[in-house]
Amino acid sequence: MTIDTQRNGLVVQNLYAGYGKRDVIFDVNINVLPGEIVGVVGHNGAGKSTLLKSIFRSMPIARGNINFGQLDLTKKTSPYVVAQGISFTPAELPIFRDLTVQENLELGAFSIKKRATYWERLHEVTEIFPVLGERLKETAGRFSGGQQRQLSIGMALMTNPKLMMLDEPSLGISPSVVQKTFQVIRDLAKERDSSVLIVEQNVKAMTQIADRIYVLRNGEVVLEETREEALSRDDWWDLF
Amino acid sequence: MGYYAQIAINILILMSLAVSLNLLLGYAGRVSMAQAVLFGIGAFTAARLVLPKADASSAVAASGINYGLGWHWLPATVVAIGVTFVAALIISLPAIRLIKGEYLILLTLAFQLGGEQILSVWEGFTGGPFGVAGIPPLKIGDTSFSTLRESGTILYAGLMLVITIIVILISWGLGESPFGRLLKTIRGNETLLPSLGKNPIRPELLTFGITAAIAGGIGAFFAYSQGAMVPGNFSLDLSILVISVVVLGGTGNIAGTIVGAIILGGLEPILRQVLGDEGIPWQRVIYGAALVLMMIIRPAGLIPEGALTRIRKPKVAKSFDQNLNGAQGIQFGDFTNKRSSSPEENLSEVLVIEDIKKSFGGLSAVGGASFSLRKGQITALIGPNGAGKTTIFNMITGTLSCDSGSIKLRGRELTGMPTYEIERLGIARSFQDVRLNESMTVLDNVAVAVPNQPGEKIFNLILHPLKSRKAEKSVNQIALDCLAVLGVAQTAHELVRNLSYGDQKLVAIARLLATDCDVLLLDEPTSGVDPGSVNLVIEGVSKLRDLGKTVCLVEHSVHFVERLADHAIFLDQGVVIAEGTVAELVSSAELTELYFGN
Amino acid sequence: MNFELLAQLTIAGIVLGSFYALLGVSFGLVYQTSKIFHLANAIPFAAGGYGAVWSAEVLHLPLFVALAFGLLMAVVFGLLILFLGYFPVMRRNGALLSLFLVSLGITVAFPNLLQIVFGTENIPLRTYNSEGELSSAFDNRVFSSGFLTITLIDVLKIIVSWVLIIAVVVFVKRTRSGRSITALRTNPTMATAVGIDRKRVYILVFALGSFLAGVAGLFVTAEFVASPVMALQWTIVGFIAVFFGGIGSLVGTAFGGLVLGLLSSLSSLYLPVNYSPIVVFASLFIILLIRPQGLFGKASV
Repeated sequence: MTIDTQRNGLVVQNLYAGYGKRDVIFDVNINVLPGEIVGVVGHNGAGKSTLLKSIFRSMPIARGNINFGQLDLTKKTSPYVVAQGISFTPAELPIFRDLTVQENLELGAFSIKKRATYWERLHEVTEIFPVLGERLKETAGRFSGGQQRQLSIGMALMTNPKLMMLDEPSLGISPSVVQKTFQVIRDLAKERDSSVLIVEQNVKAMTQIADRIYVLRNGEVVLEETREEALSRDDWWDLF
Repeated sequence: MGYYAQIAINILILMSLAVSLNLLLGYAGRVSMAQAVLFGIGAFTAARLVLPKADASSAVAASGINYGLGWHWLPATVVAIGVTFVAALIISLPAIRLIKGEYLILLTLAFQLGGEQILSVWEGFTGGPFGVAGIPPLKIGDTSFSTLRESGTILYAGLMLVITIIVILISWGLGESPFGRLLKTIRGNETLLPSLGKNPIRPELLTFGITAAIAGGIGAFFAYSQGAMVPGNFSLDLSILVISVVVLGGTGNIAGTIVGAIILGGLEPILRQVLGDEGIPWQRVIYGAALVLMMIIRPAGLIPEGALTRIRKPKVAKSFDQNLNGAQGIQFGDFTNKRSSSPEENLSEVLVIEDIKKSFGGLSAVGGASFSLRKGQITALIGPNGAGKTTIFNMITGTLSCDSGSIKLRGRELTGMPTYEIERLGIARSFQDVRLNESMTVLDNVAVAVPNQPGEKIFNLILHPLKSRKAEKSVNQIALDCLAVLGVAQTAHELVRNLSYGDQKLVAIARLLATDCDVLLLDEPTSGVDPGSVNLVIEGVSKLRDLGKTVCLVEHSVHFVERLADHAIFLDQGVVIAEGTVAELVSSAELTELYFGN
Repeated sequence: MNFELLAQLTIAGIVLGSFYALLGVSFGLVYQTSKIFHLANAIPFAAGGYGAVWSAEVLHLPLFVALAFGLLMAVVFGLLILFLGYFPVMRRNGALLSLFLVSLGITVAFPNLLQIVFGTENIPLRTYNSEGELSSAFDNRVFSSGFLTITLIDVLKIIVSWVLIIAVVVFVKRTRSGRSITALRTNPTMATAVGIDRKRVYILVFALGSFLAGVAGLFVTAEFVASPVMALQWTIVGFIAVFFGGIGSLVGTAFGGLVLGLLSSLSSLYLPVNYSPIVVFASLFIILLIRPQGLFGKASV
């Protein structure tokens, strides 16, 4: 990996995607630079999850281009995308509830073939989230919402991703945990110089960590602004 | 001649079995693997009944097995039909609870194989592996249809043609009636029908019963025309052949099935001529392969459903297009089963919800919500993700039960009622996805929602065909009026799959209007609509208010809520936090914090 | 009650039940993951039997090599069905009903193809002995102890079936590939998110399921004969074991199969022997009426 291949980060151009013949997002243009944290906010049903899933190539796209560094992801499938160092954490049920923490983390590292790398990463992740290390053998479904969220992020970290995509990581967890989780995400990103693309409805938590923000409304990008601009905005309602 | 007449009989039998199965497979989207054994049950039942009594003829008695009750063929046929009808209802008993399609496949498959086994071991009924022989030929008046003479076989072919035409007429009559429209609506959409106030289970079971009964009746004529048969005639292969005919021709379309039966039924005699007895496996290879190829290359069959639907110019009630005065509304006439005029009719709060709670596996989704809907107003439920908005819709319509609390419609308690009864009291809902049948016309999709249609009952279709036809005209007019209100009447005779998604949303709202309910719940009416059509949908929703409907909507885009709602209720984690106009709510710092985080 | 008869029937029931369990796990693996009503599981079953018979007679392969060849054919044909039948329909976003109809078409075409190629007669499993003559490949010895008797193939059926079932269950639970099956079944979105390729998992379960069906086909061929219609009835019993035992778990399916076998065998205490298939179908009917989630299944929410 050289800086050069990563220079462009993620670039999404003129993207249309949806279900069957019906599009949910229309002509979306966004980009995420290496080491940057970008947030996409918008009302429920605005097409935020559709955007992430199309970038992850787990749902078909109608038109447009998706590039990551020098790689063209437009015609690829999600196993390929994972192998290129992009992780995706869905909003709902982001873990395997019936399996143990360790089994979950092992599946998180599914694309990692080397056993030694797996152990190394497992060690790293349990250092970041000590509670996971303490309860490796427990069934993940019994965990609290916050712990399940941490586990889901831990699973994503198992591949040491260059781009982490998180869908509503604040869903179902209390505000204090949201803040802590987001801080961890920010520290990790800055420490590893990796990019993060977060989709959120929780605008305030988002503005705490994101470098840049896009607002999606009914499938269209209606606004792009920097953190400073977003922080000084006092009315969000007319964007939702 | 006799040879060709026999071929014709075989093709006609296959055709009538397939045409009747098409009702189940094509219209309702359910598979029965047991058509062959049901056909066989009908055949052996009829045979046993018409075979002469043991003591009546010493020659027959000597053969030991080929005796029966010596009935006339007519009552015997009726009994055969009745027996298979009842058998079908019994098979589908477990499937009532397990409404998913694969259980009917499994149960009918098990019944087919178990039935084959029973037929081959129950010697008293079927004669065991050797079958029965000496079934007396039909007699109608003085004409005996004896197959000993060639003319008898030809007579049977003529009779089978008449029967096939009757079966086609029955299937066509049912399939293209309001009853058939119900079936098509069920297909792939089990949850929709209850929300339109209709019970999906009865038409489905009835269809399976009718399909089975027709197979049983055809079985009886098969027995009379062949004179002798063995249990091996009714194997799974035949069931699969019948299914192949339907699929090859095109499901949900009787013309297709007729073509399919001629092709696959004609294949056997041709192959037999060319290859002799070796032709039989080839025939099966060919129809098996045809089935596979069809699903891969042309899943809709040779003649796809809707391909023959004529596009007619609709006659739209002009008055609706021009001026819509809210007081008048759409004239439902007799087509309403809404029980009105309760003493509390004039309450301004139509629906009152008090402290309803629901939790899933210990997690609380709705934690004691109370609010009410005001007559003739649009009320919006807003709030962050996970606020429990859709869950509340599901609780009001009875799709989810309440753990506690009460929901009262004009003073009447709704909790504990099934969805279709709640709808009949006047509450209908739409879904986030449109849930329209794409291969049906727009008009049919809306017409299915009109309550109290006589044509949805088979009883009426048979006994009052004229009344049903007349009613159908009025139903279509109501549906057309509803479409006109939403401004999409010009699409009435198009297939839904040819419409844009925005128009489909409008059609779904028109369908809601056609339920004649006065409380309408709309789940995200604008979601997924392209930016160009959003305004049309918003106008459509506000027309519901103009008609005096009480509307409640879940809508995530505050932008749109602001333009629509008279009143808004802010929910968070299943609890009402605040109420007021949208402007009031969005100016509250506390709510802003709840919505956007802090 | 006749104790000797009861004991003998119990043993026969365990033999039958173990075989049902094997068939159930074969179909269950495929069904749990893909939800395809894979009636065409009958094809690898028959391919296994015919593969062994053909390779022994025509290629002169010794017994064990011929058996392995049969298993290879089972897996090859199972995967052919997946690639030529199911994948194209899935690419068109075909509904489960379409996939079932494909399965149905294959199920009716294949035995007739076998009949065209190999003829209608039943073919026993024969190998060339040291003198270069074709002879029965297998001496199905009978073991007796007191009033109980059991044949060698029956013993093998019990042992092989359970060894394979346990191996599959352990594989699914303990290995990386096996866990990808569970992952896809329990949470498809997350499975995609961690980079599990749905197609690969399908290939894996079809290969495994077809292998087990092939083993079952070998047993029937070794004990009786290979015939074009040998597979369907057994395959459907496998289906019934899955729904009878409970859809969610392979262990439930295996025990469901065992219970079905015992019920079927012990029914002959009261019923004529040719009624035992009917007992199997009736058991399914009753269990779905009173316990829709299956005997060992968890009630779904």
